[in-house]
Amino acid sequence: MTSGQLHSPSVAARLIRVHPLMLVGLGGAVGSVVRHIVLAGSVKPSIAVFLLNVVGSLALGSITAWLQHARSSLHGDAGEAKPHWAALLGLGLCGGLTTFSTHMVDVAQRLDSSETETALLSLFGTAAAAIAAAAVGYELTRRATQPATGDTR
Amino acid sequence: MTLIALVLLLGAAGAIARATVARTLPPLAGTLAINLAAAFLLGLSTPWTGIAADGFRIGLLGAASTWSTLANELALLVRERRYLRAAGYLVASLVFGVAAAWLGLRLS
Repeated sequence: MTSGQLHSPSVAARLIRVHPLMLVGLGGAVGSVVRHIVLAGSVKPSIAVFLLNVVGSLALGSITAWLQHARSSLHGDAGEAKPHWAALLGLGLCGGLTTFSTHMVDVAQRLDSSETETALLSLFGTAAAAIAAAAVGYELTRRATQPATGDTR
Repeated sequence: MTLIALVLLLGAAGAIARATVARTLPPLAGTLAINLAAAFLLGLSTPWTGIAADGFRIGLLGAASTWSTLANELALLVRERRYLRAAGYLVASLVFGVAAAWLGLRLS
C-alpha cells in the first residue's frame, strides 16, 4: 500500500460531489493567476511563456501517468475520483498555467517585425520542448509508479 | 489587485470554456479549435487598453488556450506510434495558430 492509496479515497469522497467543470474552473483560475504573476514580474516575457508552457506540459504528462496508475491499481472511490483530479490538475491547473494564444501572437508579431529566426526558434523550440516535457513527465511518473501496479496485477 | 481578481474569475471561465469545447468536439479537434480561436482573438484584442482588456486577454484567452494539452496529446500520439496523425496535428496547430494570430493582428 502506498501513501496515495491511503489518503486519496477520503479526499476523493469529498471531491466526488463536485461537478468536474467547477474543478476545471478552480484549477484554471489558480493556473491563470500564477501565469499572470510570473509574466508580470518577468524581464523577458517570451522566455517566461516558454518556461510556463514547458513546465505545464511536464506536469500534465506526469499527471496523465499518475492517473492511469491510480485507475489501474485502485478501485471504487479512487477510480471514480479520477475524472475529478484530471479536471482540477490537468484541464484546470496545467491548462490555465500554459497558454497557446500568447505564444502564437508573440510569434506572429516577431514575423511581422522581420525577426524571422527568433520567431521560428520560439515556434519550433516550444513545440519540441513541450512535447519532450510531456513525454518525459509521463515516462518518469510511469516508471516511478509501475512496481506497485505490477504487484497488484 | 483588481486585475488579479479579474484574471482569477476570467481564468476560471476560460478553462471551463475550453473543457466544454473539448467535450463537445472530437479529442484533437476540440483543443485545436479553442487554441485557434483564442490566438485569433488575442491578436484582434492586442490594441485594446484598460483593465478589462487585460483581464480578457490574460484570464479568458490565456486559460482558454493551452500548450500542455496540445503537448500531452502529441506525446500520446507518438507513444501510440500514430506519427502521421501527430505530424498533421502539430503542423496544423502551429501553421494555423500563427496564421490566426497574424490575421487577428491585421484586422485589429
